[in-house]
This record gives sequence, C-alpha cells and structure tokens, in this order.
Amino acid sequence: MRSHLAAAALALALLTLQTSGGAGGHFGLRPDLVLLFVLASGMRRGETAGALWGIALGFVEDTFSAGLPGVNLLTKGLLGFAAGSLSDQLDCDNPNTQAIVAALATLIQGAVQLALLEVFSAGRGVLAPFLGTIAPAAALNGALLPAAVFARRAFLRWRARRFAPAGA
Amino acid sequence: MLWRFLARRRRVLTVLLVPLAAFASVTSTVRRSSGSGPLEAAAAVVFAPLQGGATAAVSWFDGFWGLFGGAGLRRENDELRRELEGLRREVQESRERVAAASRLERLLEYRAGAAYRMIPAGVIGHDASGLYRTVLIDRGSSAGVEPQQAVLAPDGVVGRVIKVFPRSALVLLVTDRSSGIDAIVQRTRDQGVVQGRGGSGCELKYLDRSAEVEVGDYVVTSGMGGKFPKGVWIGQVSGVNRGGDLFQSVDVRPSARLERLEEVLVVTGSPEGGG
Repeated sequence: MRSHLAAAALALALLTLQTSGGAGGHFGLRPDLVLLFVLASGMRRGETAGALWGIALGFVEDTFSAGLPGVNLLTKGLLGFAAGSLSDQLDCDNPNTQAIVAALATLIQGAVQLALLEVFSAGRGVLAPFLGTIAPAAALNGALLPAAVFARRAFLRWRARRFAPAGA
Repeated sequence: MLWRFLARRRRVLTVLLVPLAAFASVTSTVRRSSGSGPLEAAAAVVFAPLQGGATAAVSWFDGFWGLFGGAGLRRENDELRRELEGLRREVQESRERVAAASRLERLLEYRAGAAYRMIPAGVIGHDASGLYRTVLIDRGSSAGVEPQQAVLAPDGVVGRVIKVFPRSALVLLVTDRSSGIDAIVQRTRDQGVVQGRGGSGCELKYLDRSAEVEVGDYVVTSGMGGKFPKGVWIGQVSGVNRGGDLFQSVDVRPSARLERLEEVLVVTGSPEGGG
C-alpha cells in the first residue's frame, strides 16, 4: 500500500514538473518524464500496472495538450503494457536494456503521434519535428531512465542501511 | 469463478482496455464542441494549482540563480530592454494611428485596441511534449474565459484560447502550426494569414505576389472575425520569398516574447460590450 502511494506521489510530481516548464527549457529539448515513469512501472510491476499508469497519466496529458484527444492515453497505455509484457524476456536490470527501451519507446510514441497528426490534422510535416524534437528527446530519455533507476536503487540501499534495526 | 476467469485473461483484458479508454476519451471530446468534460475539469482543478506552484518555484529559482551571474548587469539590461520595448510600442502605436487616420479621413473615429475588455492571467504551464506551442493560464470559465478568445501581451499577439477549464485555460500560441490569424501588413495594407511554423517563427501566407512587402515591415491583426482587436502587433517581417507560386511567402518574427511569457491579457469582450 505504501509503495503504491509513493508511486502515485511520484507520478503526480513528475506530471507537474513535465507540464510546468520545470523539466527543461520552455520550448526546447525536454525529457518525457511521464513516459519514463510508465515504462519503469511496466518493467517493475508488470503489464497491468504499466497499462493503467499509461492510461491515467496519458489522459491528464491529453487534457492539457493541443493535440488529438486520446493520443497520449493510447500510446502511453500500450507502451506501458508492452514494457510489462517484455519484462520477462528482457534483462530489465541492465542499464543498456533500460536505455534502449526508453529511447525506442520515445521514438515509437513520437512516430505514432506525428503519423496520427498527419492523418487527422492539417499537414504538419513528419520529418522535421521527428528529427528536431522526438529524436533528441529519445536520446535524452535513453540516458535518463538508467540514471533514474540507478538513483532509486542507491536511495533504497542508503535507506536500508540508515534505518536497519540495531544488531541486524 | 468470474474472478478466476478475469485473472486468467488479465493480459487480453488489459490490452483491450487501452484502446477502449482511448476511444471513450475521443468520443467524449468529439461530442463536446467546446469546454471540458467532468473528468478533464477534475484533472485541471487538481493540477492547475500544482502547476502554478511549480512554475513559480522554477521562476524563483531562475531569479535566485541569476543573482550569482552578474545581478547589476542583468538589472540594467532588463531596464534598458523595458525602455526599448516601451519606445517600440509607442512607435508602433503611432504608425497604426497615422495609417488609420489617413485611410479613414474623418469617416470614423479610430479607437485604440485598449477599448476591448481584457482580463489579466498568469502563465502556469507549457506543452509537455514539445510538439505543440501552447501555454496554460490561471484563468478559466469562472473568470469569463471562453474558447477562441484572443490572448495578448503588452508587446503583441500571443494566441487564442482553445480549451477552457473551471480555473485554467489552454492557449494555442501564434507560433503553433495549427494557428492562423488574419493579418495585414501595416505599411502596404496587404492582407494575409499569419500561420505558425512550429518553432519560434511564423509565416504570412496567401499574400499576393504583387504586394511590395519589405524586411522590417510590421504585421498587425486585421480585426476580421471579431475575435482579435484590429491593429495589434503580431510581428515584424524578417524575410521575403517571392517564389514561383501564386502567393509570396513572408517570414514573420513574433513581437511577443513567447518563450518568456509570464502574464498575458485575455480579450473577453468587444468595445460594444459583446462577447
């Protein structure tokens, strides 16, 4: 129960940071902290948790987005599910695997969003935003996920040492 | 029995839940022509104060950090910039008054754009993906904000409201690719549509090839459609491309500093008192 509450608080903080300009330059390069959280949840807790976090956080992102309705919900839900489903076959503790999963997921999400925009909205062009926004974000996310997982483990180790019962 | 059935098919049910939720979200949005649904409104009510607090904290941190990077120089630079902006605004307002006076020749009294009813709002959020050019402001339907209302800054057009929540609203910036504002070149009175390029610039489209637009010309709102006050500065021509098309393409640099927006004005009513 406590870990679920902690996860919810972290999700809320990341979502706030992502949409308030605290996650990077106002219109420049910025990581997708919400996607990283969804992927990490999927890899750690399985496909149901990944999909549900993706649906919930994607819905809130759609609320504050000028894009097509439901796009973030759909992409993040499916990517969370996929990350959970593949976690049995992948070495999720390996930083290289985490980096590749984060970068690939960012590229897939961006490609789907741009493709849907191209189909349903006035032609925005795909290549320029993909190379200018999505690809750099993928590289950044690829570096951030292993770093975040490492930081979490280091924190848990520190907490276990700090609050270990005397004589243990 | 049912629980066991559901548990056994959890994977299939989960993967079906995602498109179903997306479909429900799409249909509920499509059914509403404007405004927000109860779930969206609830999400906005919860998140808007958090975003406001986070944005204020980030802004404070930026300012605090700036203290270590030459506070005196920064202050002087800010004062000079404010002075320059004031002078440029005065020049722009004078030009617009002269143009209107000579064109209308006592036929009608030119009224300044300030005659419109406006409410101030603070910027509390930005687009999360980087694919769109939007900002979230801290005024919503409870303050009289409605979809399609114009949003201005002291130095020019910011954009228009596209989504309204009870205490916040989403504003599509003039630089977004799906933004289009009817405009005229102030000097030549040629008409076109200013459309965003997705980056930090805009393009004046559908401008007749014969129009003699030059770099440095001012582009202002035409007032067509009744949402934007007439004669508000949109930007300045930064490049002209007279290609082989029917129209010429003109690059426009927005006058409002959209990357550093903190406060904006929402135009909530016309001088006549209409909406």
